[in-house]
Amino acid sequence: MKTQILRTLLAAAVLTASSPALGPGVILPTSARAAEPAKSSHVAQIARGAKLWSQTCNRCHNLRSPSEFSDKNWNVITMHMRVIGPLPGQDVRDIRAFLKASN
Amino acid sequence: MWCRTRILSAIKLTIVALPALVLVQNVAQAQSVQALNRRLAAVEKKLKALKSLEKEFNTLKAQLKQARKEAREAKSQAQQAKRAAGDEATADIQWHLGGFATADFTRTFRTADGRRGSFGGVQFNPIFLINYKDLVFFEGELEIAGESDEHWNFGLEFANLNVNVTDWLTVTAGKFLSPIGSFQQHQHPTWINKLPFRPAGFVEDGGTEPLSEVGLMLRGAIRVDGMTVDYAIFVGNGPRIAEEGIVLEGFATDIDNNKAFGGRIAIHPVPYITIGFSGMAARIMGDGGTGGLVTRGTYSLIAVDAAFTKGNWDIRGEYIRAHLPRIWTALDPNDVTTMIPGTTWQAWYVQAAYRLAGITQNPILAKLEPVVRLSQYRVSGGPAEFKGLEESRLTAGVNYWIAPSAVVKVAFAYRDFKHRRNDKVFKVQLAFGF
Repeated sequence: MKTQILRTLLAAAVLTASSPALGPGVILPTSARAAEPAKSSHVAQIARGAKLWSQTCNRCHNLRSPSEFSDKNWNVITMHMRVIGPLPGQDVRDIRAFLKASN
Repeated sequence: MWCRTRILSAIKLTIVALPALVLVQNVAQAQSVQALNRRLAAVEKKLKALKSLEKEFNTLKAQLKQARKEAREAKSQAQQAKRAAGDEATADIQWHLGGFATADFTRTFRTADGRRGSFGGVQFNPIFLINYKDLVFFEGELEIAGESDEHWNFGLEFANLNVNVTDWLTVTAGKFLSPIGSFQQHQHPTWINKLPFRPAGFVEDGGTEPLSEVGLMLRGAIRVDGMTVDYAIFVGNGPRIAEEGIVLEGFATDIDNNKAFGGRIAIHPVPYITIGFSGMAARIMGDGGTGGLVTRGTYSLIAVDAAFTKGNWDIRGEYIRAHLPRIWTALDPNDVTTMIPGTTWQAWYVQAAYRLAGITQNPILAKLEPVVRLSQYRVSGGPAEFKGLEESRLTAGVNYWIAPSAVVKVAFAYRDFKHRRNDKVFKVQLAFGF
C-alpha cells in the first residue's frame, strides 16, 4: 500500500514538473498538453489569414467584413475565390480561418 | 423603662421605614418593567426585521433558482444551436447563393435623335456555388438583363466544375470566364467595376476582350520566393467570325473543329501589385454563306494587365491586341464569300480610383470614391463592318459606398466615336453584390 501511494505521488510530481506554465499542483492531461501546440498553430493561422485577407481580397474588390456571411457561407465563397482568383490552397484555408474566428 | 422606650422607638422607626422601603422597592420594580418592555420592543423590532430579511432572502432564493433554470435552458439552447451550426459548417456538401443586381438611369446627350433619358440597366445575376469538402466545387452564374423594350435576355454566364488536385492546381471543366486579361474575369461584376460603364473595346457585344470559353482549364497559384504567381491555361471551342468581327464567347459546340488555346500568368511581386500576361490562339474557319471560297485563319491575341491596389488607391490598366490574317468568309450567311483583309484590333484602358475613407472625419465624404478612366478601341485593316465601335472614351465619376458591396455610381462619359457622331452619357447606377 505504501509503495502504491509513493508511486502515485511520484507520478504526480513528474507530471506537475513537466507542466511548469501551469504552476505547482496542476496536472495537465496528456490530451490537453498535445492540444497546446495545435492551439498555438491555429492562432498563427488566423494571424496569417488576417494579413492575407487585407492584402489579397482588395486586388479585385473591396474587403468584405467577416460578419457579412456565416461560417458555412465563407467555406463556399472562399472556394469560389480560390478558383476565380486564383489563390493558393493554403492561403484560402488561412483566410477562411481568420474569417471564421472573426465572425 | 429605658428598654421600653428603645423598643417603642424601634417600632416607630420600623413603621416609618417600612412603607418607605416598600415604596423604593416598587419604584425599582417599575423601572425594571419599563426596561424590560423597552428590550422587548427592541427584540420585537429585530424579530420583525429578521422576518422581513427572511422573506427577502426567500424571494432572492427563488429568483436565483429561476435564473439558474433559465441559464441552464439558455446554455442548452446555445449548445444545440452551436451543434446545429457546427454540423452545417462542417457538412461535406455546402452551398451558397450569391450574385449581384443592378439598376440605372442613363441620359445621352447629342445623339442623332436628340437627348434621351431612360431607366434601365436592370440586371440580376444569381451565382450558385456548391462545394464538396475542399475537393470538388461547382459555380454557375445566370444573367437576366433587359435587352430591348420588349425582351429580357436570359443567359448562362458560366457553369463549371472544378477539382482541386493540389493546393496549386485546379482542373476546371465547363463554361468559364475567359482568363485572358483581368477585366472580364475579375472586374466586370457591376458591384466591382468602379464605373457604370465597361471600358471601350471591353464591351460584351463586340470589342476584343474574350468573355468566356467552353472547354477545359488548369489553373492555380503558387508562392515563389515570397511572391505569388498565378496561372491559367485552357483549351476550348474558341471564337467564331461574324458580321461585327470575332465573337469571343464560349460556344456550346465547336463548329469548325479547331480548338482555341490560351492562358494567363500573373505575378504579384508584392501583394498590392499585379502584372499579368495573357495570350490566345485559335484557328477560325470562314463562313461559307451561300457559296464561294472559304479559308481558315489563325486568330491570335496578346494582353497585358497591371494593377496597383494599396491603401485607398486602386489603379489598373489593360492592353489587348488581336490579329486575324486575310480570310475568305461570308460576313452575312445570306451572302457569298469575300476576301476579308487582315485585321488588327487593339483596346486599352487605364483607370484610377481613390477612396476618401480615412482622410476625412465626415461620414458622408468618407464613403466617396472619385474615379477616372481613359479607354480606347481601334480596328485597323478589315472591313467597315468591324469598325463600328471604334472610339476613345473619357469617363469620370464618383462612387458612394453604402456598404462594401453596395454602391451608387454617378458618372459622365465623353465618347469620341470614329465613325459616328460623338456623344456624352450621364449615368447613375445602383449595384449590389451579395
